[in-house]
Amino acid sequence: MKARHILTAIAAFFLLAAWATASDILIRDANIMTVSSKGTIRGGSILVRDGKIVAVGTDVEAPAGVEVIDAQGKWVTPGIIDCHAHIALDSINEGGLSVSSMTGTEDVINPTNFAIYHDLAGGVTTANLLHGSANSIGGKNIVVKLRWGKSADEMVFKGAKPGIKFALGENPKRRGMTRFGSNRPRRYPGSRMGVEDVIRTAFGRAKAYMEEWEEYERKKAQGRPAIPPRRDLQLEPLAEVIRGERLVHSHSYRADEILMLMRVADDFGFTIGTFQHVLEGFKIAEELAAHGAGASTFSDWWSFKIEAYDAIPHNSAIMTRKGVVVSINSDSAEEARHLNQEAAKAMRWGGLNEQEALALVTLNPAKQLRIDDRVGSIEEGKDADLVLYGQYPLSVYAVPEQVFIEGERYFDRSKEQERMAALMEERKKLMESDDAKKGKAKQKAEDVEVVVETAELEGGAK
Amino acid sequence: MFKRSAFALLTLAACSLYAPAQDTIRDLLGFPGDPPAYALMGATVHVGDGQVLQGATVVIREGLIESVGSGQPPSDALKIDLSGMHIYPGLIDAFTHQGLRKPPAAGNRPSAGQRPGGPGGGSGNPAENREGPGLFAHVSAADRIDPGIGDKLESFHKHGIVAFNLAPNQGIFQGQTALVNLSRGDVDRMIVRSPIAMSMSFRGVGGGVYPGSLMGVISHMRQTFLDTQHYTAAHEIYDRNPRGLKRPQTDRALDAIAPYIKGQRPVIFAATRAREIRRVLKMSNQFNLRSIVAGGFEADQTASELASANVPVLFSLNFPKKPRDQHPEFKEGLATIRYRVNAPAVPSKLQQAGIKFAFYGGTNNSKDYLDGVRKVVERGLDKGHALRAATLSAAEILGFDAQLGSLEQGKIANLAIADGDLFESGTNVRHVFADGQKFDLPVAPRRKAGEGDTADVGEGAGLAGRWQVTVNAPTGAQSLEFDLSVAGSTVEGRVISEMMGAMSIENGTLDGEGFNFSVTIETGQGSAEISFAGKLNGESLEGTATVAGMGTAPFEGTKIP
Repeated sequence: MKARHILTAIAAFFLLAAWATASDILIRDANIMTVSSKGTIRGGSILVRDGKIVAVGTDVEAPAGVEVIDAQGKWVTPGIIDCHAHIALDSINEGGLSVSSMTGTEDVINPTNFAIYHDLAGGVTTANLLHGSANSIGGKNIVVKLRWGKSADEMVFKGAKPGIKFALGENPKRRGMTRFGSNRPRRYPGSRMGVEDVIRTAFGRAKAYMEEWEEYERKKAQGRPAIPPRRDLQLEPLAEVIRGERLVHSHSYRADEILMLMRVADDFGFTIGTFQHVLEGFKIAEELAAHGAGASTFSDWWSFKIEAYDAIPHNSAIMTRKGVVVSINSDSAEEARHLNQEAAKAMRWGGLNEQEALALVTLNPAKQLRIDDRVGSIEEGKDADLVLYGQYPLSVYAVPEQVFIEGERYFDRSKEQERMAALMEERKKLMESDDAKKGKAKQKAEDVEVVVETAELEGGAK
Repeated sequence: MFKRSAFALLTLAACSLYAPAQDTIRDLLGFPGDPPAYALMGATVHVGDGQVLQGATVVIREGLIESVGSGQPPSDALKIDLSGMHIYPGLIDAFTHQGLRKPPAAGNRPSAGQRPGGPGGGSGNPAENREGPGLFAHVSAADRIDPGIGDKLESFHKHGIVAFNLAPNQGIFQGQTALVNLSRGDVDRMIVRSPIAMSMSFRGVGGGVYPGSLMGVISHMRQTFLDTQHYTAAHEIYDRNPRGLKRPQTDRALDAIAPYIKGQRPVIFAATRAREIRRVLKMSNQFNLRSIVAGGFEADQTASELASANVPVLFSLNFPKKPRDQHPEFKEGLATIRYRVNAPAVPSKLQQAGIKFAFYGGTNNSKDYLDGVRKVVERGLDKGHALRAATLSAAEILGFDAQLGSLEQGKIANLAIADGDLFESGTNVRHVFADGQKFDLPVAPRRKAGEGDTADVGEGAGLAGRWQVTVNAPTGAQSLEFDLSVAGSTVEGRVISEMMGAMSIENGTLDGEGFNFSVTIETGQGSAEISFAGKLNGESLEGTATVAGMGTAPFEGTKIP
């Protein structure tokens, strides 16, 4: 440790900051599932410097000052990417409007939400935090790296392509239906047809808004007096969608509605980023591939509502074979902890190979979120977001032992007991100074001592 | 019944200290009932900026502090001996909703419909109300002061609070705050300055309409600040070229926000958690706002960011509490316990980090304010800085430090006078000056540790109890009642007039059988003191009452069994 400090000091002195920083590691003797053209490398090493992977292979040596982790034949995969999560948010739905495109989950990240740490323990390093599905056009999403302990801004995946949540079907129309006993105001739309109308109307307004600005720019260029149009935060994201600067991630189940949204997109001249859930995607896989939309689905989760009945576990495999970029997501803080297993199911149901299956939760969601130049596979130049599994990652026994984000260790199962003990100690100390419990805590502490004594006596008697 | 002599009326006038203006009595009296000036002498004077002056004299004239120092008091001043007492600047509750009239049942943005400059003002979809409610920026707390507040002054004064920053509490852009002095008189006289700041809340509006979520509220704020920028710019362009341009619409809410996006006045954002504070800093940065954070329970975690953004904190003394209805076996999470236990220690950390902060009570009971400051002191903030956060820092943060916040020459005479160290429990506030008006506070008989009800033994203890007293004034006899308690050599209690009520005894001493105490008589514009000096003779007492500048009268009394 001390040697490291000295090295760091020397490095800083020579302005060689890249030399031996905290995120410089070498993982050796690992079975590396690269999710790249290199496939799985047995007994290989990964060299990480400055948070980036600089070398992958069987003949990589550790330079001086780099922490060496001996994997002893264990498995390393790219960090898992969850393309559909609602964790770590202080609010999820803005239900007051059918078009809530002015809102964004980036504004409400809660970096202290414990689901982040649970996700990490399941090997997730990147998550797409989506607005809920209450509205035909929901809020903007934000892609984050799960840097537990850091601030909201520090978690944001800088450079990820902006996106926005859409929703089709039952959820966005629910508030438009009469419900017995509810005195909340009804909200248009109340039907699947109405959902399409809301989306089309919104894009119509967005086009008019774009024209309004163009008109103003023209006048200004001619030197004519003009008042600039009012900036409209509801329409700006939709204008970005039309210009291809923002991805649409649309909640969807039924094939007819998925086709509908693709037609709307064609009419307004843009491509849908991903269909989320997309349980009937297998029926229209060719159309999805032709449009160029990604599909982010569940492995085998269905029948939780009428529109989610017509589903099969082969969905991801069929769409993959038809040329769609497919990912498997969690949409759940629980499911997110074993996405590796969810991906593995596509090998059993549909016959994807090992790399194709693992790509469902690594490289493919990276492609869908347009971050595959940074993450999703273990290749030189990419971020060192890595998971060290104790077992073959696509087995039910696989549990992450260590999780790295850009070379920094964010989860270490071997340190868990120590960490929990420290937290218990902190809790005890805080309770002692908690006014509300001052008298009681003291009393309890005495009780504990008495109990211990009694136990010892009993033990001795036996 | 009795002669309307000056003496009798003076006694009478003294008895209702918290009553409304007493102009009628003053007129009847035909003499200036209030002294031209007060000289408060002999006390420990806490200036508020860190200085403490022993035995200095504070001179108050015409509602202002004329001087603080060691010089001779002016000859025309009523001299009040406050030996053993502590004088503080009147405490300031930097952010409160107490004293606010109930909001009107309906009330929303003043003008609905189109926004200036663009045809797309409406939602474009009749089923949607894009702007939503929550915009009350044009509401002013100064217009919403509860007229009944004059009857409640004592509830603030007895905890040392003499002024507050009153904030409206409805919607998201909640409206503009006002600095209110807790003095007598009509509501307009109480307002020292308005507007002070804009108050902002992150709570969504209810009823299933936008913005109903935190996400929506943040977007709503951002859109409204953008709208204000646009509104201001559109009007400036229009004003240069009124001919040939469509006139932008007038919007009172945006008009009200305009000075805030120009940085002319501060914007107060409610934010307690670190992440909430960071959201404020982002908003603040985007729109060049002069922001103030109100709440601040995790402000220590964001200290460096607050410092670099130069954003001060109004720290809430309504600390996080354990819910009372929590199941006894429910195990709270560590994060919850951390939050609750650490909160009172945050001010001392802010002090170390060099963050400017002031206090606000955050409840509907001013007792929580003083108790809260005491707790903050207990958790490591030194008393000097605690006083500053309760006085001068509040004034500096909110921009009225030229008027209030410290005992300095020329500032408004807001003072709190306590019978000990204000930040120690058991200390009572005995007098308050608000806008130069003197108030005296009744004090419950003090029981020192280890002394019970039967502790009043020894010489002179017979003085304790109720006495029927007759004062033989030159103008006729006056009936009074003394309600006395004795603790060691201190006499406390009340002098009660049948007609007017009770006034509390000040500077009461007992030496053997002899006793001395005084009460203060308040008239509309000032006060005078009556001092009683007497001797106890078993079940009776006798002595002399002296009214400063008026003369003396003998009194005698018998114990009421």
